[in-house]
Amino acid sequence: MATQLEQLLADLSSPEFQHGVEHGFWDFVDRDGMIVYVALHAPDGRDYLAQLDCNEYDSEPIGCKFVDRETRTCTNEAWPTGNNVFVQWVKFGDQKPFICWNQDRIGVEHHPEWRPQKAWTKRPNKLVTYLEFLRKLLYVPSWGYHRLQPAA
Amino acid sequence: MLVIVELEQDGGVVKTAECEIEEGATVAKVAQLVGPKLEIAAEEIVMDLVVDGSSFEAHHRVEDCMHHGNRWRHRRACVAIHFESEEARHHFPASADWAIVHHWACKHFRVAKDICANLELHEGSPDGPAINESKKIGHFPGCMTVWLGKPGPEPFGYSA
Repeated sequence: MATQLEQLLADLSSPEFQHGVEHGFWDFVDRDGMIVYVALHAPDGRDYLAQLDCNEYDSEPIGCKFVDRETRTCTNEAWPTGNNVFVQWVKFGDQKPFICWNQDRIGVEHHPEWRPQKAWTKRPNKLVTYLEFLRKLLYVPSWGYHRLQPAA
Repeated sequence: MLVIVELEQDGGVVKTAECEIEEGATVAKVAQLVGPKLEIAAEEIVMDLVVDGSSFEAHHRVEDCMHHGNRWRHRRACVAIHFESEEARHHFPASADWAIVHHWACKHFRVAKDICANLELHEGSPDGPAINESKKIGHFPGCMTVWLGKPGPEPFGYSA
């Protein structure tokens, strides 16, 4: 049976992950143990650096934060923003921003009632499933991401 | 100056059109003249005009392009688009973005504008990988199958 690291490395080199790279949706930036950094390329030309905590890969959901590209610290400015639909999934406010989704580690911490579903175990490639969710957040207009308007 | 434009699709040249063009004219003018003969809109022709790896833009002057030769090529790629239970095949300029396929499909299948904006192109099957519509269509053998569809069920977010 593959170790968690072996499984993570296999998912990072999977055709599904590579497809996202080839199509310009995301790029692998770095890995520090079980922490993976992936740059998400939004349709308005902006880039967001996702810090994906893949500790206990498979048994626990991935925890995602958007971080500053230089300092790799989580700042509000590093996060994409959007409308009232978007904030269903990306929470700001008084607390630290987090992704409120039943396949995100911090989302599940906020909603323990989601844990029994184990939604993050439903698809084999957890990493790409997460990145696909982030891609849709940025690309599907009805999901409400605030796109940078091109200069007139 | 004589310019010959070859239409390449399905792996070979299927049609040729030529035109006489005056000095100072742009590539756009060539496209306007050969468009009716090739039965392709001029604005689509200028999306892909190449000679030996060099590509021309609509605003380029014809004489500046002529040192590559006067036999130019417009390449089109076949895409089989599925939408719900319908299917249509169409050739698109190989250097155009995938967005042109999305727009064409919405028009062809008569999809309302607001619904169209939230559909995505997927490669091979409805659950296939998403296509980035800002990327070029490119060349491939045969006809590529894509599906125009909703981007999957909305995931569970908490709206309090």
